[in-house]
Amino acid sequence: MSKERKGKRAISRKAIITTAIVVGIALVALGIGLLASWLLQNGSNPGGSSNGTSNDQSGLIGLPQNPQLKAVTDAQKSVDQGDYTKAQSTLDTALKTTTNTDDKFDIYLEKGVTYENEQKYNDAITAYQQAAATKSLPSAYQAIARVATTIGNKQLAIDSYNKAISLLNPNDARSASLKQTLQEQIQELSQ
Amino acid sequence: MNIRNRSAKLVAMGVLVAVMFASGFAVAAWAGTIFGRQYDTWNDGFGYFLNQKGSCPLTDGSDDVLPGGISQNVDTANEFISTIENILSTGNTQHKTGAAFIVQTMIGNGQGGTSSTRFNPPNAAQLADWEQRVRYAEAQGRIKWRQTFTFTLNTCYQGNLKDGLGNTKPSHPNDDMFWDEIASGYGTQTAVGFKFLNANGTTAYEIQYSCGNPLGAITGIPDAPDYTITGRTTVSSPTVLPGQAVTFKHYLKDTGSSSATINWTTKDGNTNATLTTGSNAIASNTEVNVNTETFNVPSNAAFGTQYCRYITFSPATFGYGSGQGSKVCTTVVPQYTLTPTVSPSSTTAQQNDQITFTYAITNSGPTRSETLTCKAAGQTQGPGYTELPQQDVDRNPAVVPQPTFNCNQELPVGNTTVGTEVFDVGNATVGSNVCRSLVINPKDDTGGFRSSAEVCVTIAKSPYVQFMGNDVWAGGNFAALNAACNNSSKIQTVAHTLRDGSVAGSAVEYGAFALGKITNFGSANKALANPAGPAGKALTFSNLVDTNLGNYGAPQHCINDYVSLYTKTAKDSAAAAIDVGTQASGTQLDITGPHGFSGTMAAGSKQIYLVEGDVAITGDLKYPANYSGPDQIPSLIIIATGNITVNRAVQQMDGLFVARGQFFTCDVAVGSTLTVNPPCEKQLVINGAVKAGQLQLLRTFGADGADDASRKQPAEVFNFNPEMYLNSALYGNNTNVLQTVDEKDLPPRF
Repeated sequence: MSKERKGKRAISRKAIITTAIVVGIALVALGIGLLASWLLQNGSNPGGSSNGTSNDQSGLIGLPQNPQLKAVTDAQKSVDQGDYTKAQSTLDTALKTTTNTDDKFDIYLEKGVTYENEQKYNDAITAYQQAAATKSLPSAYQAIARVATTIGNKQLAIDSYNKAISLLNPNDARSASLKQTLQEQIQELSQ
Repeated sequence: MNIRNRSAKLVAMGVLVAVMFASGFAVAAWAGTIFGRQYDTWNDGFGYFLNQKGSCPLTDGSDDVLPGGISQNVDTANEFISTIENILSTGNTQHKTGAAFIVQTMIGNGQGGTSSTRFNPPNAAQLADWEQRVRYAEAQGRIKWRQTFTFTLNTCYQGNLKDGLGNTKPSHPNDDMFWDEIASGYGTQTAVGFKFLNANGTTAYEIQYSCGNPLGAITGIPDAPDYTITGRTTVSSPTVLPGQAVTFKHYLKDTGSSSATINWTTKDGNTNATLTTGSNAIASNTEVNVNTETFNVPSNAAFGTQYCRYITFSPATFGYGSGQGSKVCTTVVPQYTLTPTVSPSSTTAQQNDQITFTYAITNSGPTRSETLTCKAAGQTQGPGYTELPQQDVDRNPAVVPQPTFNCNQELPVGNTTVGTEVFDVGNATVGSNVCRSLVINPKDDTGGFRSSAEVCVTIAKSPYVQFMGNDVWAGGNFAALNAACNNSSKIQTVAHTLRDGSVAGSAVEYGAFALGKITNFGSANKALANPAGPAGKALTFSNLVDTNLGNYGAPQHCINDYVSLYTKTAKDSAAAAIDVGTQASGTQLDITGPHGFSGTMAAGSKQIYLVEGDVAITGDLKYPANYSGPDQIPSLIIIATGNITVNRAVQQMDGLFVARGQFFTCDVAVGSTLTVNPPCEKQLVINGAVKAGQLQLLRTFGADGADDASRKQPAEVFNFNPEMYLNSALYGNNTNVLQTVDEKDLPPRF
């Protein structure tokens, strides 16, 4: 009985120590997780500081928004003020120092929309093509197709929509819906 | 067992560490949200309204927030508001939810707010708030329509049954959600849409035209300032006179809780032309007089003209829109008083004359008058008529035909002749009155009739005297009255030019001589109306330096009154009334007056009467109509040291009459009113001669009638008849008869 009680007391002490160690390790892991998340968020923003939006004060939790490059937001601001030259200059400066492919893609895309807003459609197509060359994503080809449609270049528009479709994941539900939309655009252009 | 237990513990520890790491990562990674609900890839979002997990892509419909999108023609706040509100009221479930989603997110619900405010559909207050914000954004130039932009965050509708691969979705709430293009592997996207900016130029909200999806890292659009501006304009007077000034004051009032800077424009209320522009800061609940205009009304401004002002301003409310105050006007009104007058060309007129009535109106101001109507009223009234005074009444009868009036005009201040009337007297009864009034309306700015003081022209006549067969002499005196005999007597009668140009007036057949002035008395048997004219003055010899009328240069002289010749030491007696027809021829009496004479002389009868006193001719004194021989020529001499007064009934007097005093042709007081009819209406013919201290011609006969010949008839006629010469020639120095004892040679002699 005494040995059992002694043994029980020994187990109890050990359990306490073990639990403390586990909790400590768990807390460390939690901290590392938080740090990893922070690094992931801020490490992909070589163009400038985050332009992240507000905190959720509703008590619910959401995913992070994708912060835009500072150069992109500055360019957008210049466009809204009608200063297209400054917008392009800002983007060109950012391109010289940006090595991240995703960021370069975003900058070229922003150059494209800037030219498009300035109604310099050929320059817009060029910029979108540079974006596509940087990273072959459907959105770049969709943009080319839209501008080509605007200037009446149906063939380029159709080719670009087809290219966008080819880049979609056939097993993805979103892609399936998008593919249908793009095919409708092609059909409309073909009429 | 121990090993297994240890292994199990290690596994459990590893799992715990991994879970905690993931938890920490997840908590940190989800720390940033857009509008309160968590978002994820397209197939793992939480709805904005219901917070239920669901996905977007589908095959049984569109996952767009607003299927069909928003037309790219929408490029104004009003069009956008109209589009969304139309969807809220008439769209299907997906549309309505999408529109509510847009409204709620645009007003910032979920952005720092609580989920309890996310009403689907938005309540009226939320909708009003949204409209104000959208309009304010437009007013501030913070909406960029039809722009292409990049985005990474997208939105979609959760509520359809199947996903893009045709699989039934586990959850499909009627809700919209945010999702991440990057996390979904599609990368940054581009779209054509419109965006709302913050005051600092950053993007507040973006919507894609083609699908109506809110895009990007949106926040609510800025709230509109809370103010409402009202404007008003006042005028110093609702009425104004031409040439006067009025003051318009323009006010702006802020009835909200925010101050505002308002741009304003004052406008001409008639033409809407801009007058003045400006900008003022208006504090909350304050009214400011932003502009004061002193307007000078032109002196020629038409009555009834309205000069109006109002103010427009912007923004009007909540930072957008425009407004205007009520228009206020001042009306140009007249203020005047008119006094009509009638002026005749003369106060009297004679038959067949023309009377000119001049109609005039005096405007005592201060402004010109309104246009008015004029009427000539009046008629011919009888003798003794009393003229009407000025009265504020209409007056009749109207004159027919009416003169041509120039009354349809605005009369300036002062006197204006508005018309004339020429009235032909014709044969109007002498003594009647031609009366006229000018009736006007309005009399002043309050309106109403006003009749002028009535003016009457009395139809009169001017009786004449004619001297036939000899001359007329005036001047000198009887020595018994004036030893020096220095009396520059004058001959003063009247004349009247008739319509045919001839003259009706007094005249002598031969010469007219006076030591004084001769006025309107013709000679050479022509009446004289115009001293400057050639007629009627050929034998006129005034002894004054009087243009065209002589300056004969005769001396003063004494007139022989024969009194001393017939004065007796012992006076004779005779009846008061002497009938010369019953007196014996050769009668020569020196009697004390007064005595009356009448009767018809017998042929050849010669009578001389010296009456020391006054004589009255009570009846005709006539010579017989026929004589049988020169010795049958009668001769009557009546000499009075006083006056000789001829009774009104006497129409003929034959003989020589001498009066030291005055010779009255009618028995009325000199200066009394003479009427056309009795007492002195009969013509008096004196065949012979008259010497008198003064000749008072009182008869009113003649000078009227149906024709000009009648109108030239004299009231008194003095004929120097042949009997006067014959008696002198036949009886020489016989003092018992009429003889020539005094002769003046008056040039020329015939």
